[in-house]
Amino acid sequence: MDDANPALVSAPGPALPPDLPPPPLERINDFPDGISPMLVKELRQGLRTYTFVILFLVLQGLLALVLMTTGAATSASSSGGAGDLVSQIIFCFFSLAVLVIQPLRGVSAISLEIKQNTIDLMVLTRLSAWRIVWGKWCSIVSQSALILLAILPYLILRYFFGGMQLFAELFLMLYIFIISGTLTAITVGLSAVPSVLIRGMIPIAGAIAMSIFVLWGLTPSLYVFVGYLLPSSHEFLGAIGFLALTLYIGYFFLDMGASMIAPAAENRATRKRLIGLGVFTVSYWILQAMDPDIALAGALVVMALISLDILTERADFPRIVCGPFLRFGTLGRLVGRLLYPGYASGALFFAFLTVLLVVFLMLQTKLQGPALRIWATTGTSIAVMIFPAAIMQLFARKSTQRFSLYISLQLICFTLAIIFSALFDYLTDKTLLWIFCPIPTVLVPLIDEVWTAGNQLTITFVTWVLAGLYYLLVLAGALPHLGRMSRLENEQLHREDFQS
Amino acid sequence: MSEHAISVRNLFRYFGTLKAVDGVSFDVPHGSVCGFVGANGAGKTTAMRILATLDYPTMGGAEICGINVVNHPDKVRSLIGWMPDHFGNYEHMTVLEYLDFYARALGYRGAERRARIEEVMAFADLVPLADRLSNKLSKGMTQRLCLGRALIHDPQILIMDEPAAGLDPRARVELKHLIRLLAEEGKTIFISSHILSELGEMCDSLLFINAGRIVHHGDAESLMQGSDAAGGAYYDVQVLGNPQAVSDWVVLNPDVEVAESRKRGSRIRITVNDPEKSAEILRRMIRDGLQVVEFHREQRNLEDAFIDILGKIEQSNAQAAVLPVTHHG
Repeated sequence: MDDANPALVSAPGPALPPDLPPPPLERINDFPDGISPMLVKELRQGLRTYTFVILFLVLQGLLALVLMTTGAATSASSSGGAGDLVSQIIFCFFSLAVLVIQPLRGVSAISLEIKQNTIDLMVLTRLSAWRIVWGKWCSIVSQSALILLAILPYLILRYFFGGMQLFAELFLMLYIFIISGTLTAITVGLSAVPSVLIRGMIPIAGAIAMSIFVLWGLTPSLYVFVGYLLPSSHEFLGAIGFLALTLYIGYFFLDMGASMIAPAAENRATRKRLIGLGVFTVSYWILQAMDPDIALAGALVVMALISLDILTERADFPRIVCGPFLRFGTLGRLVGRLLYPGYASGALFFAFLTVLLVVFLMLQTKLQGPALRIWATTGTSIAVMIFPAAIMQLFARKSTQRFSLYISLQLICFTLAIIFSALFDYLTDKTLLWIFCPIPTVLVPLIDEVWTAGNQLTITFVTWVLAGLYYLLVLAGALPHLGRMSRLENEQLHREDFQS
Repeated sequence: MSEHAISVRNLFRYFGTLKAVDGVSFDVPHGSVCGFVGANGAGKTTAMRILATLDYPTMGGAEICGINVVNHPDKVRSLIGWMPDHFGNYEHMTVLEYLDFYARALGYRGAERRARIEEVMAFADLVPLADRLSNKLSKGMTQRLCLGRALIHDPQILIMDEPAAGLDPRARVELKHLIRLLAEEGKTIFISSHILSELGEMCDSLLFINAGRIVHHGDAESLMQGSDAAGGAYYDVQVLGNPQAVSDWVVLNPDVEVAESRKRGSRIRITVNDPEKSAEILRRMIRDGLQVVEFHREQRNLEDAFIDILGKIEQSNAQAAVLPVTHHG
């Protein structure tokens, strides 16, 4: 304690010497009491970070420069048509800022708290794990909103260059902002993953993809893109569906991050699974009205996200988690087998979702003709989702990093699928590739290439047999944990009896 | 109000096959300072984290003021202040803002929030540091800030894991002083440390943990007065005249040994740790003509006491290992 007060060291007495000024408490009233403490903390820190300050100033400088040079060029030549160019430049800068740089700031949001051991200190306050993660997300998104507000004056000035589609451009800005929020949620949620490789690799890969999208995809076709968003078209429903899916993905990753830092006694799995089940069912039936293929694709995306979570959760939890379920007797115990935290109940929940999807499909399609392709695709997708969990059951049963392992295995499988897909063009004997069909991702290109009237049923059968085999492996691994659930339930019941 | 501030019963915590805490039971009375001593990896931090609701037991239970830490973690959290062994501070955040964040997170609003911050800043002597960035503080300042944070909600019980680790001597004295002030206020303090001499000065009782098990629970005074691993006690004897006389006398007395010859006498070891025996030996010395001017028992330091206790355990384990297996029934 370099600057320690000697009076304090030498003798006990009043800790605050009378000659010291009072603490500058007025400075802590910069944010009202109503704002979430986490948001206050993150904003105080975030607004002072060099990344934000530099980004904000550089963006302002660049946009001012673009407007001035365009203005000067327009007045010199006295010709119109510069508006489109200005719009494209504004959107390009804005998109890079909020789709690439801002989400990347979330990469270390939670990992830094875990590394510094400050997450425990926060958990001991009244802040729940969800409020911690939500506050971190809100802070970055608030700063993105500040950037959005800061570029609005440039859009107003751009109006004087002519050719402005006000609503279309505002719509596009809103869309970009929503996507930015989702990407930020993904990086903030993934920042709780223990593996540095996964935590860094996915967001950076995403940032590269977004940069390419912004620089080469979005700007040259600005109005084509905006055209899809405008009302009174068939794509409008698609846009709403896209928006809903985006919101769910954002929620999913934030809650996943919260689950990773929450104390084991805090059961986050049940609500997350119920919300996932709701989104899975509702989105399927809404999108079904538009296009059955899109409905299936949407349901499979939601199921893939849910699987990522339920097949990788840590298996153990304290008996206190059983309490709310046990109030409903046998029914509660049964529901608990699906909704307790951990990959053991996750395996049963996965089976439940699969059965539900099969029922949905049976209500819509028949097991023949073109519909068979839908069944083959569904079987393959389910095998793809369960395969990494089966591999972990065989070779890494006691791994504490199930999430990272699942993602890594999935990435390896998809890389293999790309390689085999390329190989297919060079091979004369295509049947050779069937040797690799136990890797379910290989089935994706394989089905595309060999789908003929003669082997449709065989391929469909193979996909479902593989999915079933892998599922049985996962279930075998889950059985000991399912047995442990009964023991925990009995302990909890015994405890409640004792206390009452 | 419950009988004990902290009550632990048959607490087990396993990490796979590792038994971090292996059937621990103890009580800490209200308003006392209890030191928790053990080597690295003995299970101190795990047990403390369970008490702080940051981990949960594999079996057994723990209560804070009669409230179960597993069943009611939120209630327990309002009663405890937790100081971890290591933690980082935030970038771009001043000491004042740091405390303000925790005050807000603990639910304090408006004037009450300001009052709580003012109080802990005054107590932990943080007022001069109010505008300093929290990640630019020295280790001692950081510990004071951490103590201030732990006290914001005025908890009844403080759980401190190695708070003096890495502090310079002056910072240690300051921290010890603050802990004494808190004890005078009637707070229960459960503190772990490697610096046993300091724990001995400030603690009412000491808990020794080894390999996940409690191996001793008692007050520091009795430990320092206690016998060595073989059950003996050391005395400093000074005489007038020839100091060799003590050694010569010892040869004739089988229950006394010379541990070390000194300038004015000897350091002797009495093989039985019993005050009556000591008094009898002193009487005998005088009766036999030794001119004794000083006869006092040496106090062991806590490190020696701890090592002696561990030695006794190892000895009894070794004996148990060579005992023949007895078949019953």
